[in-house]
Amino acid sequence: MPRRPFRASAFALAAALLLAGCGGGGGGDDHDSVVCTNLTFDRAMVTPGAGDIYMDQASSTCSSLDVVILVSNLTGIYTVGFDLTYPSALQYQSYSVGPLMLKGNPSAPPVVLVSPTANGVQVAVSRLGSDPPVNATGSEALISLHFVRAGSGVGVFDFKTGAGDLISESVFDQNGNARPAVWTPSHGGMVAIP
Amino acid sequence: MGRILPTAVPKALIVTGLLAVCGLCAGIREARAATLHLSWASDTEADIEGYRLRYGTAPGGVDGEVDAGPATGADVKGLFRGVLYYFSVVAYDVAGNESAPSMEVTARLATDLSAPPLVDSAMEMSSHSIYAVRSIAKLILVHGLNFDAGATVDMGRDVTTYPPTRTPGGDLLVGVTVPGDAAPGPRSISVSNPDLGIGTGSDMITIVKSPDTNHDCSVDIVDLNTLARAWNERAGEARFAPAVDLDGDDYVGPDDLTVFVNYFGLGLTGCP
Repeated sequence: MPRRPFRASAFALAAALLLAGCGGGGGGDDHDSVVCTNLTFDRAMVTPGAGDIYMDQASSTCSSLDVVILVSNLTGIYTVGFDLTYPSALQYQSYSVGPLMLKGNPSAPPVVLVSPTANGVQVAVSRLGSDPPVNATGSEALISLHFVRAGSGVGVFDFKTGAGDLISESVFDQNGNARPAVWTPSHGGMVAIP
Repeated sequence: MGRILPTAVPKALIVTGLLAVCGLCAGIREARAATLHLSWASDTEADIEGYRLRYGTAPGGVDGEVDAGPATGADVKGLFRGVLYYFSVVAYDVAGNESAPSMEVTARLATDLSAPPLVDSAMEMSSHSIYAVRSIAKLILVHGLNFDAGATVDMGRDVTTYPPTRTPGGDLLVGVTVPGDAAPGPRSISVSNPDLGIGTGSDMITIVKSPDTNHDCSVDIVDLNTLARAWNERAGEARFAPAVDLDGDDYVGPDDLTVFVNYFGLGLTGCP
């Protein structure tokens, strides 16, 4: 069965990461074991409503955290942009585009710009050319962002809004009109990096 | 169907410096003769056979030619010091078809036997890129060799350059004024030393339209939406938007996105 070797390898890799990420362990039985605590993201959004764009934890390990940006019941999505603020104990590493912007087999892959800044990250995703806008039915994933531990602490992980913010959170349709997206309040969460 | 001419014009033609000074030759005439080495970026077409380097003492003039074969550099011998030479390169394919000539560069060897300036690369300082936004670009760092104190920089008739500052590393930091109606596209940069030595690099900086298409002094999501909607459109087509044809080639595509990415999320210094 082709997947078994892969699973074994993945397990070995995960074990290696646990060892590398935690650097310590408990005792108490016949085998050495490694105990560490995963990073956590507690989302603030309770029940997303129409137009809400919010965050949730996609996955985590002792050394990394994947946060997904979700869009709830919004039509006419062609270009989306936002920026994020999060504790300095996290370091942005990579992204993966969610299925929302890939709907309908676009003729050109959507353009994705992710720019780390001094205290956050700027993100923009857009369909291109004549590819039609997409609709989010229920909550659908726009993009997932992968972070790694760069320290420890607890803090707010949220959209960055306010004066001096060069990327204002917004969604535009294929005619350049703003869509009724909702970004605040309580659309981010609290992150704990043990 | 006839052959298609090579279309990828050689780029980044650089005079890379003095190779040989005929200091051991006898007689004034020979002593003034010298050799320059020029290099350029390779063509991307598969059937390219080679390159011809042409030079003369007037713009567009051809007094001599060196067939470099497939090499991307060649020596030009027997040049005279104190004479300004113009160089360009054409690519040719296996059928003998020639591309259009590259951007022309100039070089002049000083009569005092010193090495001429070598312009190797340039960077617009606000974006740390090769793109100079019209009306916005203010400082350009010219990297190279043999830049003497008192050297001057030239980027073409419609770009005003001010007396540069030499950095501790010997590069030149030059203030520029790029007018709002400057033609988009790649530019050569020439450096002239007080001893009359001149060196030029082609395609060093590309003048582009401002990616701040809605003039709100930031390059943001609104501008990306405008560019995205005009994607893959040519001038005259329904969704083409001249404002986001940032490089002015009448097509909105990856080159324009590359320019945009360099400025995305930036406030534009000097923006009104």
